[in-house]
Amino acid sequence: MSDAPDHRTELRPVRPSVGVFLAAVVALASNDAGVSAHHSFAAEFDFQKPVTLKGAVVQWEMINPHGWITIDVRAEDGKTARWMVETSNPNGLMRLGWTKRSLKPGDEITVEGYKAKDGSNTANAATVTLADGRKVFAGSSGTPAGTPGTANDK
Amino acid sequence: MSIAGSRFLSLSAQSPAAPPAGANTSLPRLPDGHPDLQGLWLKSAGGFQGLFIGSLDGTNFAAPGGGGRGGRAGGGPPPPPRYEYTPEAEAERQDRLKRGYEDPEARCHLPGVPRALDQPAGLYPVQIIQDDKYVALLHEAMHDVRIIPTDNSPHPKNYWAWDGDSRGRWDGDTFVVDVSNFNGRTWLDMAGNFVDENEHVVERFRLLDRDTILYEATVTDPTVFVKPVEMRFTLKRVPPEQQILEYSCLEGERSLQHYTNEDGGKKQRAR
Repeated sequence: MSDAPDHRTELRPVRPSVGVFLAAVVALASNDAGVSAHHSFAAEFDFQKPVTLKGAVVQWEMINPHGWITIDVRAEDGKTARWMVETSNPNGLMRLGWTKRSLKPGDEITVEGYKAKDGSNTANAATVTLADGRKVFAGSSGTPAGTPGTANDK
Repeated sequence: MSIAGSRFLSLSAQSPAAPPAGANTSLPRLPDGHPDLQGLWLKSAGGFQGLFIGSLDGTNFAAPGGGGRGGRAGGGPPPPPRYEYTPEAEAERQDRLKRGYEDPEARCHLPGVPRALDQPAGLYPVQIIQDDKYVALLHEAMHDVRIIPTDNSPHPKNYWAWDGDSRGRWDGDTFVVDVSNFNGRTWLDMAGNFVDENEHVVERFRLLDRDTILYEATVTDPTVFVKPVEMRFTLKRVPPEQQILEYSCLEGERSLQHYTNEDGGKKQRAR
């Protein structure tokens, strides 16, 4: 390893303005699930099947075209089931401040999202609640409005 | 890093040319007199921020009870294009609507034109680099690159491609791109709207002010549409600290195995 000073700088995330924040909230009122970052939401996921996954992070892969969180979900009987959770495009997440170090193996998180249509342990993330309680958006632009499992969902 | 400000392709030494009579003299211009379109641009008025309401840096977490979406936030959605199909093409479109998993872009193919620019608003920027011989469009989405000659050269006779072949010219202060030679395999969106190999596109880029480009595209395809399809939206300049990021689509492509048709059945076609 070199002892040379590190002159690299950080790519900065985008800091939303208040106006833009309000615009995003307004956008929540719509429910157009047809558009996603890379593929149609409906081609893979079912917005009528919301799911909440609580468990420990196994792996966080901030890769294209979508990031993936591997999580061991604990059931009440103590058994665990491994799920794969798709997030938005990593470039969009990076501009929000996400990095490949944002989730570490063992982190206890809660994912609210939507199940895949094919019945596998696969979901699309809408929000991720971190171990410290911070709730962050992780979904694709096609993620349906509202928190999964609430009255907002049809 | 500032690619936008560089002379990517050598700009030959010349005296600054006067803009056309009646032109907007407040626009930034290159020495050849044409508007300077260079920079990083993003569809929608809202910028990147319009997409999300949560971030990890503590400034802007998800609204209470809100999962969040909003790819079209910030300035409202552009008016949707009107697609008027031939009867045969309409039946094909309805079929494709049920088979969203066959969208070529969902399989990491190039998006074609005008979809290269008509990406989900607020997500993928495009960098424009320009000199007196070319205008280059570097699209973050799908690592799509279009280097458009402005030398009045014709389309080739023996070449067909996802993005077709683009040839540009200046109509006053408007950069006009004629796009032909498509391979006929692209979809125009994720909702099954499509074109075939007879697609022809005329794009128009007009700098409204330093930070806004009006983008218009007219799509004709006589074997698919009975009327041209018109698209129109603005591109906003992105803050200079942002840059194009890598988009290696096949790196983590894991959705293919989960794609299903409308009723949940597995009906993948090879493409």
